[in-house]
Amino acid sequence: MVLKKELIAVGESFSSREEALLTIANRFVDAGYARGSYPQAIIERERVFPTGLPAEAFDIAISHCDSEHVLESAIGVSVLERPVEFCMMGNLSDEPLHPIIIFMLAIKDPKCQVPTLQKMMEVIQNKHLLEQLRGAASEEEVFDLLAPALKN
Amino acid sequence: MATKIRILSVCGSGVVTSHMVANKLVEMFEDEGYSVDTDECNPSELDGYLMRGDYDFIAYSSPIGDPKGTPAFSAMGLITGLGEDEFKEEALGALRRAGK
Repeated sequence: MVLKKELIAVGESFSSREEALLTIANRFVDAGYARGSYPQAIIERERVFPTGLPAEAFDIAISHCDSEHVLESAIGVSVLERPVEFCMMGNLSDEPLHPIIIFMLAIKDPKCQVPTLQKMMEVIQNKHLLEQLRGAASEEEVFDLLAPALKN
Repeated sequence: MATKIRILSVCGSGVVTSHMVANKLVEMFEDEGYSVDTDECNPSELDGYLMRGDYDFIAYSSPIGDPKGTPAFSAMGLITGLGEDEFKEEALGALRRAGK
């Protein structure tokens, strides 16, 4: 399971996208899933190739970066108390999105993670599950909701 | 024998989103009776991939440069699920025009 309990947080508040990304990405470094270069790479990648997505449920983001900054594949989640502004993937619109859930992906070898990435896409499209995640009261609840959905 | 098609999936990193999209495309077009090959790359690798490979269409989730005549469609609708049918129609149209 690439979803990691220690990389999940609920009820977080951030004053900016950078602060959110830095905080979430640092958990990957602290837990040993990513190199020290990972947080900055995540912030840079988001600036150049944004990952905000207007999912049917509400806006989300799927932040990620090149695999050279990754030590071991892992997925983390932050459910925000209030959204922060992200740009939309594909730069299709200048209008910012307001993600309520940030998924952060550290992928070492995408070929090995194909089933997980496929499941991740199903999660993005699962309105009911996203609503449940948004309402989750604890990190455990998020894990218990999301783990079965990402299981291969 | 299923008709073979080749799809190039392009995203910012050439890693995460393009693989998500590629998986979806394989599923979608195998259901339509095609045999599907995919490659994944980032926008700066696009020219090289287009030179080496003969792709039936490109699916992109980050802005790309000149696709040099290869039909190219935004994959955003595939990722969010809102606009999957439109994508499929456009891509099937391109395949039909190419006689596939």
